[in-house]
Amino acid sequence: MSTALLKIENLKKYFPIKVGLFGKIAGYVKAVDRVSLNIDSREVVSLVGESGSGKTTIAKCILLLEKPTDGRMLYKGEDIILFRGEKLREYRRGVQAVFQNPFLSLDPRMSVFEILSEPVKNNLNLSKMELHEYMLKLLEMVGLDGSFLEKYPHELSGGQAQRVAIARAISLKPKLLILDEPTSALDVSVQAQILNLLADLKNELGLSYLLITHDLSIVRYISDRIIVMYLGRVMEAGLSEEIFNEPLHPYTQALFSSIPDPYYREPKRISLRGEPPSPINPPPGCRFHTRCPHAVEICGRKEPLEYEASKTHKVYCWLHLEK
Amino acid sequence: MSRFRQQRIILSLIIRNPISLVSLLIVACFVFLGISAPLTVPYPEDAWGLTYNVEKRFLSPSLEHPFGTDALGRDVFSRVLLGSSFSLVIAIGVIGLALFIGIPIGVVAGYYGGRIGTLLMRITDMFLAFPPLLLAIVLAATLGRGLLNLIIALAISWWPWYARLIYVQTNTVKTMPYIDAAKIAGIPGAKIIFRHVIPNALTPTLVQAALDMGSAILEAAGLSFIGVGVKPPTPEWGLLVSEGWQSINYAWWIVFFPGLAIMITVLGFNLLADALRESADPRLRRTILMRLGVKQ
Repeated sequence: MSTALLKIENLKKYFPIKVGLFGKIAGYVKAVDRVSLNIDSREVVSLVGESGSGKTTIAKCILLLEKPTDGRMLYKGEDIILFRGEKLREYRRGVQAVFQNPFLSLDPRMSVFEILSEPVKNNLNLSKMELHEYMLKLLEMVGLDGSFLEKYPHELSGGQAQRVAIARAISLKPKLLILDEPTSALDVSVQAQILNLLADLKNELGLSYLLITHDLSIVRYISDRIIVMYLGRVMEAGLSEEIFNEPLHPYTQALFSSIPDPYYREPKRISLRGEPPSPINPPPGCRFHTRCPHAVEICGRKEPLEYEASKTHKVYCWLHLEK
Repeated sequence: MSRFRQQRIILSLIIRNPISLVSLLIVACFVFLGISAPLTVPYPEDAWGLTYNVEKRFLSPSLEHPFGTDALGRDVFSRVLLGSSFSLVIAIGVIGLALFIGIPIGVVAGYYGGRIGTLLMRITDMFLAFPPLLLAIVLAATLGRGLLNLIIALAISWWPWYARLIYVQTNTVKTMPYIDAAKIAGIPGAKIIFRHVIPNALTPTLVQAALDMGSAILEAAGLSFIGVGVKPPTPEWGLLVSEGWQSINYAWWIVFFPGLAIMITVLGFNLLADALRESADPRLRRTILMRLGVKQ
């Protein structure tokens, strides 16, 4: 087996809760708890789950914006936490990100030219002419023209701004893009355009994506593999078709039944009651058992083991293990 | 190129609004007079307080002495005019020095946080614990009278406000996704601070600084008035007022004209600061343009 582009093993991120004058630690928010995943070259992996499930925290750990509490993250087989100097710069160039709200991810005081040229100037050696040409080429790749170079973010529409953010992300010729809810701040009509753009860029540039989203309709469209998370834990992971055709975990089933389907008159909705429990004191056993429609006695006692439905499809649920 | 355009927009916005325009004219006049006064005062020796002329004591305003003369027979107009130079130096000196101390402390404390941040902000709080004018008086009295000492004393009582303000703004700005975007592009921390954090966190502090120009002039005048500011015979406005108040019953002009100068200048700075705040923000700008009925 070849080495994965990015491999995450047992990643944990606990945020301490400090109280009082001297910052005594009263407990931890277990945002991400023993999550493993890997992304191969030219692969699109989707991380799915409701808000608070730890998806974005994983992205921040990968981008070195947060320090993981425990676990290993390997880029081309090497531990990224240990990267320094030129190695770190190479990793930074290789892994870029597109964030949810383009108006917050673009500096409002910079023109599009300044926004796009900053990473390039910092990482590549280009003459003034080359830089200008490269900026035009980047804009063309994301479907904008040179007239945008002079504009400021507040003069752009949401879709245009997100295109600029994507242009910035691909400006360093990365291998992997972390897409953190790339379409959820946009209008529905624009969402499709941005998704098409991302799909095209992936083929053109041979990119891998880690797509983080709660929007399942875009997951089906673009991803090779899906990982379903709940309260910082992986519930189910598998190939896109496997999960869509035969979701095994009750949580995945509930999540997928919420996708509006224009062909079914009477949707067979599975609705969950209540809010997700607090990640400060996650329920013992299976984290989902408090809201699971099929929960049995063992679910509240012991954490479920891994059940392999196929070589690629894994579920963490007692229902399948009991059989 | 773009930065040029932005400044032109700000300027045109200020000119379009009559109140901002008046304030701009007042401040421009003040700055112009402040710079030119040492060369143009009609009676330079009176202005600098080098001579006195007993025969000309307490002359009321006339063509020869538009603001009258003071207790030592010196031309009040000359002294008030030269006073604008001193006020200009004091205002720029105090605010500049306070920003120079406050901004680095606030930005470093806000951006890096942790122990360094806590330490820097607790020091700032210690300064904030004193009533500012009292602190300035104590410092000015300790350092002794003189222009430079007055500026230092006021700046020391002034910087904690700027540190606090930019600290809060820095804390907001550093959580913005565009800072994360810069980090993942490998931009070094110092560059992020100078290119992203400071430009985005600075506006409120600069507006406050512009607003404070007036107050700095006012406080300096106050310190000089109570006798811990500049030394006589320096024609500083506060000192001029304090020199004239005893004779207010029969020679009102000695107090009135320096007082008027202080009032107009402070008012001009305050109005201009308001106008600046509205037009410096690209997001507020569109609203102002709409209010003025201008098509962009």
